[in-house]
Amino acid sequence: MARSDDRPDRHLHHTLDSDHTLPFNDLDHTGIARTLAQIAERPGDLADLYLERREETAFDRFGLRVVREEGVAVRLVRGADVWLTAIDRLDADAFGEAWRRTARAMPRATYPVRPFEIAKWQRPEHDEIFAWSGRLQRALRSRRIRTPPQVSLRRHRAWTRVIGTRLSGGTEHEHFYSIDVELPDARWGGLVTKLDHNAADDVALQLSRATQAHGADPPSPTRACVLGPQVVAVLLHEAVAHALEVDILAYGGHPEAAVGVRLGTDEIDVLDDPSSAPESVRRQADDEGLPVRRRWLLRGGVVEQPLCDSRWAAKSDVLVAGAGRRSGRHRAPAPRSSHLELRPGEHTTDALLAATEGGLYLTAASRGRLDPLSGHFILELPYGRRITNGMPAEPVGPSVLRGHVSDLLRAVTAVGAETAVAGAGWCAKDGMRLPVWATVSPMRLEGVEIGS
Amino acid sequence: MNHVEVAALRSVMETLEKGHENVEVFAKVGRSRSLTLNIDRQVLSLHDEAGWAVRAGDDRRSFFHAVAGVPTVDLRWPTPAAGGLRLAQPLTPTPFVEPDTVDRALVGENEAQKLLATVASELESELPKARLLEARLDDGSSEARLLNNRGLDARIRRRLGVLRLHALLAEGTTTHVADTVAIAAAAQELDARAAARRLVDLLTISRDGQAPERDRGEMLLAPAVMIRILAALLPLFLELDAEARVTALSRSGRLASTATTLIDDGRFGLLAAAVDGEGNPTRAINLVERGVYRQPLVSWAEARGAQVASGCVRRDSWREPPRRGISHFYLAPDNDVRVADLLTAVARGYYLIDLGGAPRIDLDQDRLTVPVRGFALDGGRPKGAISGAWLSGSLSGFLAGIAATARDLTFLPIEGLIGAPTTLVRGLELRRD
Repeated sequence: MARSDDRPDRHLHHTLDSDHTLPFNDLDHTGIARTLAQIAERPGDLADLYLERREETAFDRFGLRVVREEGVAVRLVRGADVWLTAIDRLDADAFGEAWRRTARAMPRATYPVRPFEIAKWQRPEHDEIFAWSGRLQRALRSRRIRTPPQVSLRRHRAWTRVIGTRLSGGTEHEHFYSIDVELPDARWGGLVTKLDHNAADDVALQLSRATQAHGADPPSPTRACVLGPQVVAVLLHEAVAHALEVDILAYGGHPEAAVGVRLGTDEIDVLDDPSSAPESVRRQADDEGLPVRRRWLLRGGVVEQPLCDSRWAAKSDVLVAGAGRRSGRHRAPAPRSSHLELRPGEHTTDALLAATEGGLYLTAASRGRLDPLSGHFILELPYGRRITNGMPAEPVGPSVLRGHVSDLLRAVTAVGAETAVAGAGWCAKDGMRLPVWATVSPMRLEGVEIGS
Repeated sequence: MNHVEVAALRSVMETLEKGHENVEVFAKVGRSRSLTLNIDRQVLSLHDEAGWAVRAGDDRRSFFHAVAGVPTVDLRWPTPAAGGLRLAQPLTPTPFVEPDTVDRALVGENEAQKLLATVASELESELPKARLLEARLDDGSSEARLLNNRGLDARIRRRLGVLRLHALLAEGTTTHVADTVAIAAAAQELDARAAARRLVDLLTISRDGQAPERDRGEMLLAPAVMIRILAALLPLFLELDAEARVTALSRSGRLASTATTLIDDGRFGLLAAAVDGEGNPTRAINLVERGVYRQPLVSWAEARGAQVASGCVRRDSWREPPRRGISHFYLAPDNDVRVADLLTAVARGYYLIDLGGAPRIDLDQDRLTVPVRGFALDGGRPKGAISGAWLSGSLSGFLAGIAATARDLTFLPIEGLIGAPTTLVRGLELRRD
């Protein structure tokens, strides 16, 4: 989401200060690693402890809710077998219990692990959430939207850490907000990292555009379009990131075979780089405790490095770990993206529009889906505008962009120069719900199927 | 839940009672085992879940605060905000007998592996080119305790085993996929062979089936199809202002045919309990009775006029505040009718046993379009496989066309449990994709 004003926010600073209390800094790493090593007894075994603390503060028409959870999970990976035990407590006893159950055959024993020193929860804060709700109402009124919206606002904070037999990552911390706003004829939902004036203005702008397009006729079938950053983010997430997850690639054979395959035009350079995500969701390690990397998914349209976790990397000379993610302690890690980047091109947005006369300018996506077996892709677009005289003109109603992944990516004729943090949202795959982020530029496509 | 944890929960309530007019405390512990097989790995996981939640405030302001682990008074509570809290006076539920599976041990690692191996080998022997993309077995039990400062003290215990299968049949460049779900009171009671055979049937139909260009006839809908359609009707029973929608879909004052009775019953089925998520007694409520819409689901606080309240407030986990929802929502079966009776009664039509994708059902536009697969029927006998077809018509026509139900009531886990028997429906059309 583009931001034009970075004024500091009093409430935001207050909250970030309290976030600096990292709960897992004072742990007996050596004792934990030694204990884990007792179950990682065969060559190639991997054992780790995942520590997790999460808080969600929600305010909506049902009132105020604060949900705080924490716990541990011990995992043992042996070839194609994974054993995982998760317990909803955050102490050394819970670790011992989870370790013993994961080991299965081991006798009850004592562990040389001193008690965990875990920082206490602080008093729940929700002033900033209430304040922002009022700010959003004002932003909507300034755009002549007077109907009171239904607003659901959540602050998400998470602290996680992984300790393995040889490796101990630092505490990873995430802090962001999810927003869902509903008007009688429009809806906006997404994630932001700051609850400030700009977020309120952006949400109001999106809702204003959706309201203006409400009731507009769906577009007649079109073959050319310019996609705004939000739509590009969703498209790349589905058509590049999901398509290049090693567990998805495995449906079609060995994932290594994808490396070197041309998937898109020369214009497309796509990376996954969790370390360059917006500051409050930036990561140094993945959910297996391995350092994240600046991973070129596509360079010049060619597959370079699929998204991979440690299990797949262990059996390959080509695949590199560092993209293992889990939605919580009760799930085993799986390869997923965190923060996608599309390298900017050389064209201004005006130039992209001018080259797409009669086509569509699509700035919002409500949903994207990839069929992992067929590679078929669908992107649902709630509204857009027809491009006339090189400018976005009359609104059009809902449309659908569909096709095969490689056909879509080969239809990219140009990438814009202006980048924006955009299209952040929840990604749900196999029951794992994760926040995903993107920094992207507009894109021009030609020869695709856009219909109603 | 041991007595120490219950005493701690009571202490929390007593502490909060000093500053709040209404206080409710809820704690839940659960234990589950899952085994997931997919193309590249096998994950066996054990989960010990524990959490508790507090609702406190008055009729204008309140808060909901949920925390993992065991209850403790050593917490700093949020300040109550807009949104009041009212609590019902406790009522004594009528006697209720918990199923004996509640105390049964969870499925073991070897047992779970054997069950999934049976699915895989059955699939391979029946359809060698098919492969399981994912098989997941979950077996879990939970116990919840609910107290409030009006004197409520309720205990809810549950147990459920679920088997989910996702398989692929690849022939040349064409692929066919099929999914199936089975539930039982415990994982040990799941029938792995039956689930595998169902996958084989679905994949074979998908491979061999064709769709008529456009045809009408009697449609015999298996539970898997009916349940998905019933799920789309839920807003008519969960939204308190559904009256206009019901009126628009009704014909001559009836929402559906006289063969249609829709019930929600918190005491019937695999997740039965004596009380709901707010401690109010559960009971059976006829939402549609012989085709006539009676009322939406309403809780004690929402019942107006002639509406009958039921214990219909769900708590999906300790993390979630209570909300109105179905528990066991089902189309009443006719216990005198076998599926075979309905089959032989179809002179010319279709027996549709599963979906081929996501149904599109629009309550406001009165439209129903459901991708289906199954068999053509002629003189009560299967004539050929049907795949790539869409069952279509108006939703009101579908409801009015329900002609008969069989006795094979089956439930699937969708927002609670939704159940339906095999159902004979008239007035719909089958079209090619």
